[in-house]
Amino acid sequence: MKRLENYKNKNFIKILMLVVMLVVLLVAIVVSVSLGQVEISFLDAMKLIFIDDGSTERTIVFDVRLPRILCAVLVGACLALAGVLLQAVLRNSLASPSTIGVTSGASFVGYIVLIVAPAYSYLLPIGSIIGAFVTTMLIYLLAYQKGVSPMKMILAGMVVSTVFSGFINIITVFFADELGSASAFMVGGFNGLVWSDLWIILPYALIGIAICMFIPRKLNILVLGDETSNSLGVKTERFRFFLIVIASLLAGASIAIAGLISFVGLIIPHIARLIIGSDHKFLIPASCLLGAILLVVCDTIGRTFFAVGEINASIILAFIGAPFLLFLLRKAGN
Amino acid sequence: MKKIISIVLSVLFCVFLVGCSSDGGYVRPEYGTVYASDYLVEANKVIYDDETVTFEDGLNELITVSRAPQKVYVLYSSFTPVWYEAGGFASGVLGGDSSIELYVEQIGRDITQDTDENGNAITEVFSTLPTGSSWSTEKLIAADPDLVITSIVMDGYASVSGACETAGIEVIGMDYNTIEDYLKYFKIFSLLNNREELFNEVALEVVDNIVEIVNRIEDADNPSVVSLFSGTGEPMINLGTSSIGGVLEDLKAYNPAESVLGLTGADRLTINIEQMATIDPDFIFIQVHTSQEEADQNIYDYLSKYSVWNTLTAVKNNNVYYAPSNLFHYKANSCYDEAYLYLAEILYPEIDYSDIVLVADKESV
Repeated sequence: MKRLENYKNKNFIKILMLVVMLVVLLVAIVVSVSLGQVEISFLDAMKLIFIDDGSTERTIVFDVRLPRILCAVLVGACLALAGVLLQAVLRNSLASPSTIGVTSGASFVGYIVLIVAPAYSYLLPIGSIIGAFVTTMLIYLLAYQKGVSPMKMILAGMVVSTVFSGFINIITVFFADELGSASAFMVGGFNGLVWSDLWIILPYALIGIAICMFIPRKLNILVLGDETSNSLGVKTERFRFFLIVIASLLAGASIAIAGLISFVGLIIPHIARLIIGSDHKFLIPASCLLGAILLVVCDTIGRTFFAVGEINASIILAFIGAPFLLFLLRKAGN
Repeated sequence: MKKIISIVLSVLFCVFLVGCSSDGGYVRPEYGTVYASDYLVEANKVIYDDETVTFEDGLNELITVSRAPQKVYVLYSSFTPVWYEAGGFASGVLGGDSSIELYVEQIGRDITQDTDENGNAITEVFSTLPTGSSWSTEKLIAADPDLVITSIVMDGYASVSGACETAGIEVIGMDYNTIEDYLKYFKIFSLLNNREELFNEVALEVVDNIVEIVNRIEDADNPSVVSLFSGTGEPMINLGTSSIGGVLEDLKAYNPAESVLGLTGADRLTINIEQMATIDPDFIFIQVHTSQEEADQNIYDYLSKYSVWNTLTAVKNNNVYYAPSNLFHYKANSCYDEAYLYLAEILYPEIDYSDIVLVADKESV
């Protein structure tokens, strides 16, 4: 009885933590809308979100800041979720879209679109998603031998990633000038994103996030190992394949609009685990919220506090995310 | 299955490499007589009426821009001089040392220091960073220009076009590498500025001079010439699609790199001393990126320190030249005829060009 009560208390604390994270995210969004290189007071910014007075300030708040903030929210959530899924599938805490090669496949197809058909850059999202998906399938098939072992999958990912890196290097040799227009793609960020970009990622993100919310129990079983999960009624191979598809969808959609932001998928699941534990019922929403918070904060810092111009979110992320993860790891170790 | 995938990946790699290669040999073009209209094909496609100008932008999309914009931001330093040549004034430009150097070189002054009669600055430095992804989009929207001119490279167009479109600001994404591009954009800009006469006075004069220079060159026995881009990394060889490579091709020079390297698609490629020895050109032009000293050091580090360098025909005959940066590193613009003349006089010393009067030397410019 006492154990049950203890369990309930723990769950209550975790739910409370999720609520706190949600509040922090909302506060981050609201504060972020009022910050930028053009000074607009907090109250004016809030008013301009809802009232179209035809002013330039309204355009800045509603059409420049708000869509990029919401893109940062979705990209952060998607990349963090992709990391959670891949770490569970591969039972490897170093797995993320970038470490298993999904990112390189997606970016390779992205480069091809940018170079071969720059006029059709609107095909970039579809290209990146296809690239992420095909790469993941390739890795999966290469690692498949009467089932897929996480170790083989990581190794296959490294191989495929190396091959695609080779392709990308060839592209950079032959098409250096054309790649000048792809630097935003290579150094991920949210500058220039507008509502139409948000609509591109929204359906993929919503579908991916929604699916993830229904699978935490199965994920918890999967991380116990293939034998255990098979004995508990989870069709391991089929489920693993399904998760990989979802992870590539989430990663591909994010890469398509924000470019290469490789750190979120790796560190956010770790940070979330340190804060809320390994139960995917809490880990998934926590990772979503933390990923979103992190990218909103990084983007806001990058576009507000540097008089010279903007610093891409992925660069800020490297300076904030890495020390923060180290701090948490040391704290957890103590 | 894994074997099949491995084979497919290997085959894909080979196909990819082959796909980046040409179909084998370089075919020297049939030259013949050149006409001004040959250079004006793109410029002649520009459509205009009293209110608007319609043309294909750098992304090959047909766009229509309103004439007589009052507040214009030119966010790519190399394009700013053409805008000024075509009678324009920029309320916002890019700053930074290299941009200012370019303005002084090509416009004749540091336009970021321009002031009105009361001494107030009239041209804002929008950013000192050349890459579009580093620009503050909201700062640009707040400036509320009527027209933004930027490049489709360096993320300029990609970063600002969406937000500008939402804010009702017109954007031109430019791609300018050749004399044909210069003529096209000069025409567009002179029309936008309601200064069509400048197109006749400057651009057409430039092209007339170029036609005159080119047509004096015989079609046969032309020299083999390579131009090297000497930047911060390894020297690169310019191919026909590069700016200087295009001028050399127009001057009926033969670029042996086209057939030896047998590659297409790239404007320039890294070259080593062995390839230089294979190519063995009659003339070498070194395109200076920053300073002549750095270019020298760069060429020495990768090419001229080898004894093979001294066996090259161009080196033995003292036919290694620097390509002036104002003509070949920056866009030559109204000095395109000077660029053609500079190379032609070196490549064909037997031809008399003394009667050619450069547009920049004429009083009207």
